[in-house]
Amino acid sequence: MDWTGLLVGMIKALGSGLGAFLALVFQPPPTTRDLFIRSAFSFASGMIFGDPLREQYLKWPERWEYWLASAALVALVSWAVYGAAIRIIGAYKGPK
Amino acid sequence: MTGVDTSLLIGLCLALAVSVGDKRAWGWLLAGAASYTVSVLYWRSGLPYAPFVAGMCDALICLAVYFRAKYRWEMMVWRIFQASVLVNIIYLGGTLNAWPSLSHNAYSIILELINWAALLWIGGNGAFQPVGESDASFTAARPLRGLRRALSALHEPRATPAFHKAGR
Repeated sequence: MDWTGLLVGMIKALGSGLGAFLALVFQPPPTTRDLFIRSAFSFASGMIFGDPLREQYLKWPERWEYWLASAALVALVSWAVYGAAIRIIGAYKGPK
Repeated sequence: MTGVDTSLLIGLCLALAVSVGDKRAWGWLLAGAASYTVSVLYWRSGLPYAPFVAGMCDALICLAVYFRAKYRWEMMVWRIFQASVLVNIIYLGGTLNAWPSLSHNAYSIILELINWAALLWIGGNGAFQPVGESDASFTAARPLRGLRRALSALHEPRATPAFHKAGR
């Protein structure tokens, strides 16, 4: 069993969870339904895009602090992006 | 205990004294004091990532205020602790070289200012309660009553409770 991979995954999961938690502190959603959807979206975004952001764009080194921080950063930003997208979609009335 | 700790402790005692009877003010004052104590003890024990622990303590208070607050003035407490979380995150990122570092002195001074802002805000609002309830013949409270009237909007229920659209 690949214990290193599991550990890295757990660190990323922790980072994504922390990012979602911090996002909740700064931008609480209006409904409980929104809370669950946004949390899931942020968590998934942190897990998927944390590493690409760290490696390709931020050029942060390969250390656990940076895995965690990049996952948290992506989760934090995706929370806000999701909220903005929902507001924009909600504001669109469609053609009369 | 340093001079900064002592002065904050004196400020806390004064804020508690002027807001006797206001359980909400006491709750937030004691929560803030607990957060400060945990953060400082962790920092002085020399363990790593102290700004992270300090930020998480403040984040927990933020969530507690957001979910438990009833009045408008309490929402400002939420904003004050949000600022504290933000400063801790910025400093932590700087120590990890994720972005330009904030000096430790600047970090400490900003956090002290935030702590004092929280003490003044919560203590001041807690002190409003006895002023409003004082007898009309108590003339010494007359100027304070005018101040209370001017700021009475802060003691109205908050505009939107937590998860205000939860029923939809």
